[in-house]
Amino acid sequence: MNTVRRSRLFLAVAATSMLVLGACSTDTTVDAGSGDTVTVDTANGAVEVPANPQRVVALDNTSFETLKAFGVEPVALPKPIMPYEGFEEWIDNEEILDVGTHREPNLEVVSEAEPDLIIGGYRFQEYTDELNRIAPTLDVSPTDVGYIESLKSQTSALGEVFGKQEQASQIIAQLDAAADDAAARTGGETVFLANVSAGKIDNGAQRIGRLMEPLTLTDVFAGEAGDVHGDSGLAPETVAQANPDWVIVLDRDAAAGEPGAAPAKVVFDAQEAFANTTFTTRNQIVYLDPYFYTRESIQAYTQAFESISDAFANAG
Amino acid sequence: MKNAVLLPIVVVIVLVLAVASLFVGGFDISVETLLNDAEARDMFLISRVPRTLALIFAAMAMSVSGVIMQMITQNKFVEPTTAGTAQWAGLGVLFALIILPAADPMTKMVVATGFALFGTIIFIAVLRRLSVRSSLIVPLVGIMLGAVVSAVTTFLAGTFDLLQSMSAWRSGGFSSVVRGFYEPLWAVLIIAVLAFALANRFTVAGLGKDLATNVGLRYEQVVFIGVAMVAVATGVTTVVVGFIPFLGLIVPNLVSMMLGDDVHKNLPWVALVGAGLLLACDLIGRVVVAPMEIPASVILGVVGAIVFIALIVRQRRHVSA
Repeated sequence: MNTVRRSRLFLAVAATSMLVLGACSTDTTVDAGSGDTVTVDTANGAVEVPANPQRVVALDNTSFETLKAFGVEPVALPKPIMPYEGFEEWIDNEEILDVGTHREPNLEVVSEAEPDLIIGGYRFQEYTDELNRIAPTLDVSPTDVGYIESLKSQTSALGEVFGKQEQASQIIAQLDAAADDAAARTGGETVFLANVSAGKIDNGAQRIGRLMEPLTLTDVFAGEAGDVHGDSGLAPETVAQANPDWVIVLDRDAAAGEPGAAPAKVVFDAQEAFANTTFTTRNQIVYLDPYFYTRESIQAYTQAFESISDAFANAG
Repeated sequence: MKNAVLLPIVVVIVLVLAVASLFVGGFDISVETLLNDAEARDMFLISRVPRTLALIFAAMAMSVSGVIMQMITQNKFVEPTTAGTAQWAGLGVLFALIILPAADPMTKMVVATGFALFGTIIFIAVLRRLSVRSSLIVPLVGIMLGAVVSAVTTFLAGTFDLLQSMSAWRSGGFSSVVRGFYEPLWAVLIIAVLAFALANRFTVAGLGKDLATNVGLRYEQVVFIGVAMVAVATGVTTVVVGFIPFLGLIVPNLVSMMLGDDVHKNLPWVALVGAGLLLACDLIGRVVVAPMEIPASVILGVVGAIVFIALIVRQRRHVSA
């Protein structure tokens, strides 16, 4: 027993030292900075991760667009939950492994990808411990409260890790500009945050209420059962009674449709109950990007704020 | 004798529930605004009347389907959904979402209803190939087929990022029922009338194949017609309002416990009690978290479970006493 254990330990030590030696020998040829580490504040405290990692497994969908902007191509991705538009190259590239969805991720694939760094969190939050056993795992995904602010800290953290601080501050500045612009355009109007799913119009405050953080708009269903009962049911007549000035629509059905199709618009247009509302008569409905639901990135929010301020600018 | 008193009481209760359903909701509608305010009148016709009708029709569809299923399978615990019809309708809804995301709701309903019919025809075909058609095998086959279809649906929904849509659709609520969305449910009325016309045959079929054939019933034909009717009623209901659990199970059992197994006599009762029960559940769901709603199917799940346990306990006591 003892000897077996000892020999295993010896093997492990030998293997580790070989790996370390191997890593050292490549170190000189690859990147000057790749032996360094960066300390990043995460949801689970400060985490030390390798600087400028070469093999990145990206699981948190909110980070994909920033990684793409940095020119980082992950070695494994949860392909089924990715927004198709904009990520065709990654999804179609068979060298990038597919981890599957957050409901049943294939952690063996993550391990197989031999990552230096895993960008987890958000939908993959519950797997952080398991992922950490495979490679250092970073959870810098946005938080439910203060979402917009945390999108910024996520971006600057990723900028630190990949040595793209300047680009990160540019992305953050774009968000700030768009949010400030939208905030300046809005002036206390009432709004209904809609979630269209399976052709039903429901309260989407839980999902897109974060958009309101910098804006001066009043959610017509805030503070009532609306905060708790998203997605359980909301009759069109109730929306008509609340008569909001504006509607911002998250279209969950569109994520699977052809590019440009807007099933939510069809549902809204067919609603007789909305005929006399302010948002219908003045045509004050903002449809978010069809992939907003699967993106939820700093870029998606920047775009959303841009379209909101455009819509408000064009309104009478 | 007892029925002569009971029937008017039940009718009055259901009428009161129907009127309450017409006057409870998010938009300000009262008798006064109904008379004076054109907007309230519009909303009444756009939202309240369709919803109340949808509730009554869907309840009739599910409970009458339950009666037919229980007769032709000779099994008290068979529900329309155990034929896999609802699951096929679900696959149809998903198919429409993937292939025709920009189609109007009506087109989606037609697609999904077609799937429901197709699935039921497969169910019948499988049943016909089985040599053992005992009352346990029939629902089991349906449940198995339904499970396979459900698995395919979930897989496809996962692949196409539509799991959320599927769960929203499956939750079986009447909150989104407005004019232009519920009309297919009128088909259920035809099914109900047809069921009433064929009621005596279903009663005889309920005695079993040998006995039914002996007294001159075209057993196979009656079974086929019954299953097809259930398919249409359940398919349309499932598409318009989602899955409605328990109704097809508890209502026919409740009625036959009181009145016996004569379908012709029971059907009006089943339709009435079913409508009353679903109206009540929907009203509770509309009131408790206003202005949001809890789907009627959720309330029905709770109420249904309690009633069902009470039924079983009551029956056991009768047997042992």
